[in-house]
Amino acid sequence: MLKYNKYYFLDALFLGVSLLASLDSIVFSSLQSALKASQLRQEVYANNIANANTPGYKRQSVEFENLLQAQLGNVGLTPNGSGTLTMASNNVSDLAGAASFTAVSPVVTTDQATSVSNNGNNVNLTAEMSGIAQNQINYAALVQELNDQFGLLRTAIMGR
Amino acid sequence: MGLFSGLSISASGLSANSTWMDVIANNIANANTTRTPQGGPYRREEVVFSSLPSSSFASVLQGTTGAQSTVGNGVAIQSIVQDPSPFKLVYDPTNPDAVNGYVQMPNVNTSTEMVDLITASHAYQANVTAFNAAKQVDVQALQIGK
Repeated sequence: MLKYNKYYFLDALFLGVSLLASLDSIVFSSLQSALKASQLRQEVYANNIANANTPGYKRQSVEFENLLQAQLGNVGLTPNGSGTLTMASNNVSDLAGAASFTAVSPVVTTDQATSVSNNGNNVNLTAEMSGIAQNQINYAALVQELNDQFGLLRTAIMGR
Repeated sequence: MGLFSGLSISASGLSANSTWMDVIANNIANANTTRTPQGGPYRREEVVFSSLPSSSFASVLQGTTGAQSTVGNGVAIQSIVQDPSPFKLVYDPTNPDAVNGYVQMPNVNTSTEMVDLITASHAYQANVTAFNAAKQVDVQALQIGK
C-alpha cells in the first residue's frame, strides 16, 4: 500500500513536470512570435517613415494582437484571456488548445482606403513616430518577460 | 526580415532625403542663374521618390501567391527631373542676357524651395529616429538570455 502511494506520487510529479515543460515551451514560443511581430512592426514603421514623401505610397501595418485574441476565442477563452483551459484527462496533449496560440503569426496589411495628401500618400508621420516609440517599449517589455521566464527556468534547474 | 533590415530601410530614407536636400540646395543656389551649359537659364530640378518592393525570396513568394502584403525595402530616388514650368520674365535692360529689355530668369521659387527643405529635413529627422529605434530593438534582442 505504501509502495503504491509512492508510485502514485511519482506519477503525479512526472505529470506535473511534463505539464510545466510543455507550458514552458508554449510560453517561449508565444513570446517568440510576439517578438517577431514586434520586429516586423518596427520594419513596417520604418518603411512607412522612409516613404512619407513617396507619391501614391500606402501605409502598411502589422496585425498580430487581434489575431491572437481571435485564437483565444477559438480555444474557448474570453478575448481578454480569462477563463479556463479544461483538461479532460491528465494528459499533456490536452494543452493542444493553448499550443495553437504559437501558430499565430503576424500579418502585414496595406491601408488602401484613406488618403491624407494630394499625391495619394496616406502616411501620417506623427502617428508613425508614436507607433515606433510604442513598439520600442513593447519590444523591451517582451525581452524582459522572456528573460524573467529564463530566470524561472534557471531556478528550476539550479535550485536557488 | 533580418536583424539589419530595419536599419537598412531607415538608411534608404536617410539617403533619399539627403539627396532631396542636395537638389533643393542646388535649386536655391541657382535661383538667379541665367546661363547654363545647356543654354538658357537654370531649370528647377525635382526628385522622384519611389518605394522599393521587398526583395527577399520569402516575401516575394508571399506576395505572388497570396493577397498578403509584404514589407517593402525602403525608398529610393528613381530620377531627378526638370520642372517644365515656364521661366519668369523680368524687366532688366542692364542685364547682359536681356532680350528687348526682358531677362528669362530660372523657374525657381525660393519660398517653395524653403518649404520643401523643411519637409526634407523633418523627414530626415524622422528617419534618424526610426533608425535609432531599430538599433535599440536590435540591442534589446542581444540581451535575450542574459
